[in-house]
Amino acid sequence: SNFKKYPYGKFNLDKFLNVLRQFGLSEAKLMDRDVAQDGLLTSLMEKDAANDNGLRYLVEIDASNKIDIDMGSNRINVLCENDDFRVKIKDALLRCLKTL
Amino acid sequence: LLLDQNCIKVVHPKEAINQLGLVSQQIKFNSILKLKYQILIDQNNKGILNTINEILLKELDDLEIELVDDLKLLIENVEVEVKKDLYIANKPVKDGLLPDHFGIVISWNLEDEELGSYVYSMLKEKLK
Repeated sequence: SNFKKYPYGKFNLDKFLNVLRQFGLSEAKLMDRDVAQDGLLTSLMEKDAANDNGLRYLVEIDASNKIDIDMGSNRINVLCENDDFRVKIKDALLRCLKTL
Repeated sequence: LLLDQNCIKVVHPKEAINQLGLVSQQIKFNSILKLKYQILIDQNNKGILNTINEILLKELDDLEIELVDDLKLLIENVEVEVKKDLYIANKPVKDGLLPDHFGIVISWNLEDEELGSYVYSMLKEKLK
């Protein structure tokens, strides 16, 4: 569709992880943020590290495909090197949120 | 369209979400194009961002492109940023030894998916 999509609603992390696995991203796992602060995407993720408020989660498919979820400010940052993964992640996010 | 006190109003979707008391979510994609460092060396005289600008102008001639600095440009709401050292973040480079790869990060919000994914796949095709 050519319509722009504006997402809203409460985000359910468990559902998101389940949908990712249904879509074939079976390696998707919730990471401990402190342990995960290593690797090539670190420099990209540090941009808004000041927002860390205990409601931030990191879902990792692998070292170069990650999803940074900030439940406190309702922001989801997707970092991907693999565009097939990105499209699956996008579809999974849209499955878990409503859009206008 | 929003029905408010018996009036029908046209409002931006973002504003409608707020007026309805719903939680607006921001989804941002940061797509990384991993490219051989040799491309950067070959572009040295002209600059990689100029090359990217020329590709975009040719393919999307009706859209406004803003050059932010030597390494970053904006095409509408899509950001293209060259990250020369993306793949050496945690490894110090030995004297005179160049890294194998560099990165271009293309960022956009969900509402700009159409343009963002197009810019990504076009640059991937043209720069390989």
